[in-house]
Amino acid sequence: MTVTDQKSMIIKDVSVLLKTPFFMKSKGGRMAHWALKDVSFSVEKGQVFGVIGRNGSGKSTLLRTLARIITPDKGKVLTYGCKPQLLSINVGFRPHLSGRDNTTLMGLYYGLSYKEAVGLHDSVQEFAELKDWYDQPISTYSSGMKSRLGFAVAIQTQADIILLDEILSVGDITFKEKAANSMKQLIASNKTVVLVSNNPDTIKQHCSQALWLDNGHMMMIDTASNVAKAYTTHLDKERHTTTTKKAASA
Amino acid sequence: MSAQIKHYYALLKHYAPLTWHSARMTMKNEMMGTMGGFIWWVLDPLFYCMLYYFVFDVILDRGTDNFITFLLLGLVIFRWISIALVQSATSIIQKKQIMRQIDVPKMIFPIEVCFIQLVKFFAAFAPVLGLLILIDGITFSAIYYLPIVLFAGFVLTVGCALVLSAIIPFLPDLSNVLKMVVQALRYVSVIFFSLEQVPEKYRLLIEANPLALLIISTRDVLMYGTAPSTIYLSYILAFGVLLSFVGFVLHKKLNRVYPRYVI
Repeated sequence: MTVTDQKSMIIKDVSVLLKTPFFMKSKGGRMAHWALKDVSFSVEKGQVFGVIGRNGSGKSTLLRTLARIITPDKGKVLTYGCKPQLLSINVGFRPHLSGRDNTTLMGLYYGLSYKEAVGLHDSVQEFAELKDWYDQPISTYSSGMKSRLGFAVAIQTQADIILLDEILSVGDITFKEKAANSMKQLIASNKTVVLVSNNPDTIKQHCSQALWLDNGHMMMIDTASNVAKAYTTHLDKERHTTTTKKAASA
Repeated sequence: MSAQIKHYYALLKHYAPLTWHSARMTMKNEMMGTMGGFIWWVLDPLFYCMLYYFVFDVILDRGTDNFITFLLLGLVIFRWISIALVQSATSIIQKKQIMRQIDVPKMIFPIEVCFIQLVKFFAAFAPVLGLLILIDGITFSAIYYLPIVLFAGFVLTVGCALVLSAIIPFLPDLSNVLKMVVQALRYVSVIFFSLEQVPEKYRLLIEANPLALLIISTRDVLMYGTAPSTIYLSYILAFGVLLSFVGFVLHKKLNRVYPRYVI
């Protein structure tokens, strides 16, 4: 992996405030919650950057902010002309259409031209191991087949910065290996990757640098193995305190 | 102002293929879901028109000369515009799954609905027109004005769709109001009566409604064989363009706010 000094993305003091929409009735008033609070880091070109944290720590909000789906309330995301793309495995699936048509549509949503999207058909059919099912409506697919199809299209993206939300856990063991391999290929192709997970092993395995988020705040930013270690220790400690508390109250 | 228009144009040009193919796939998806498929796009409006014809011409015997042409032209246009309005109004809410995963300008969703409804309108309009030609209800002498009238109608749907879709994610109650407005429009858009039958003092009120003017213009062209009123057509077009512009500004401002609110 070649890591140059070239920055591909700088995140500066990013804060995102999420509120209950004003038209929704809620007991005890509307909630306002800083999903992200003063998050800053930078990702170098070709680097695989990990983000770890528990449920509700702001990981997905961070990815959405990086993908420019939402703009932060404070702070800035600079990408130096690179195109960030959040990889998802079911963008705009239409249930009655075939895998083939859905490939085209998803390719278009990922910013390919119609010709390029149609050009994906053969490779997607093969990669997703769909065989004759490829021309059947996807409402007849198993959930594994649908995810394989989605992954096969998503992996073809031409974005410079790839944002991943635990996409690696798709399909059965054989497909998972294949998916992991193509992920490695994508990483080796000198693309910048931001990988979000709540599994320390995933982070340790794939990333060089990592950020630990907790309740929207930055807890730690360091090499992936250090962050994974600290995160695991923290979780163990927390589990220990809850069990002792339970034991004490009982 | 001109920078805004330039930006608008560039956006539309860049996202036109995506919008069109997405509309195509949505229509295909709809057709694949039923055995009849495309047939329903023709049968459904035909049945709707026949029902009104049966009630007003056969049962109530309101039938003056050529009342069926008068009625069906009004109905088929009204149906197009009203369905386009109601469906585009919630288009952003319905596409929330895509919007939360990909950064696309949300204005392509209402525009997609307008494309789909235009195609569906043609599917409904062709058999109605065929039927009217069969019973000798259509005059051909001014038919070359028809594309202009329909274009004005399309611009009108796009304008309304952009504004409605921009506001409704923040004011969901408005979609209920819209349904009531559409019900009211059914009775004030000169579908069942002509403008001449309206008392003089209310006539201006009816004429302020672009949908009524669109229906009058269509009748002028297809039924009376005369050129549509330039004032009416310019009014419809101006209405559509103005709303498109307002809608575009709203969409541009709120584009990345929607993914926070539409849950």
